[in-house]
Amino acid sequence: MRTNKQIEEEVKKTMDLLNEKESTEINPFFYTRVKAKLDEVENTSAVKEGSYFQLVLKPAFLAVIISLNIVSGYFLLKEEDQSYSREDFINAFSEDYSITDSDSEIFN
Amino acid sequence: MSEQTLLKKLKSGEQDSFRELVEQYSKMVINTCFGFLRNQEDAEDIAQEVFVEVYKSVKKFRGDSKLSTWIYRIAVTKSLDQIKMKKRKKRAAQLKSLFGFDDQELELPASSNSNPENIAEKEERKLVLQNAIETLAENQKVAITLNKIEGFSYKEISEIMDTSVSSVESLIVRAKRNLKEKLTKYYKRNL
Repeated sequence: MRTNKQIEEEVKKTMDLLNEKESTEINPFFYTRVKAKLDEVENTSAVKEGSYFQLVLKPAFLAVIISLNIVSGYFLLKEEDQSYSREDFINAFSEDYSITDSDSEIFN
Repeated sequence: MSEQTLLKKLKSGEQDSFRELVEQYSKMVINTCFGFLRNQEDAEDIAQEVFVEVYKSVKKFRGDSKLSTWIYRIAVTKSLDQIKMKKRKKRAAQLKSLFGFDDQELELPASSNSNPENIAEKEERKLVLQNAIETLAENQKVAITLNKIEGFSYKEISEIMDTSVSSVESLIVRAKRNLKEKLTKYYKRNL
């Protein structure tokens, strides 16, 4: 078992390493490597932009078209449900223009 | 070339300015990354990413701080991200080995499991210190690494960390105190 003094010494020796500045060697081809990485990133992002249309915009566009079709189909069917019969139309017309029963025969 | 001129040229997209930037700051950026990562290859890889990031976002840089401060800030953030990623990988590898899916060699914990007889005393000490620094709170780790290992002044660190000089001072004091405590515990266990 070490004494507290020995432990303190060890701690001090290790803490002193904090004051030692370590420097690294710079690779002479560092710029070339950065440039290569930059080109790689730019190419990847260009591909990504292309695939963005493929993966996101295309299905989204398709979904919008399908939704528009469904919505217009729905309104079309709704309109058909509300359509008047010939009889209803004649009655409404004769009411609007105060045409009597005898007059209304001209429609028949 | 002054920072302002370099920044102007970078923003206007002059190709030579990027080379100038890399040549001017590569040493400091690699050393900063090395201070955190303690591995030459990792430091160079992250430094490359730092410059790519600088190139991509320089047009958005408003110039609220110095160009160098901004670059070091990116270097610190990327280094810390790398440390986190390595820790995650290490945890995943430990989990794999725990469940018997281990197909790769596990990195040995550097403290008691490493063999001091085979490692030079100073290297062993460096490893112990680095492990202790790793366990500090993130802001304490950044402050002490930039100050003690990289030699940045308190003012420079406050700019990089976007905080006050007095906060940096207190972070470093706390970091040293915590390091001493951790090392004392370590040596009590391992001597």
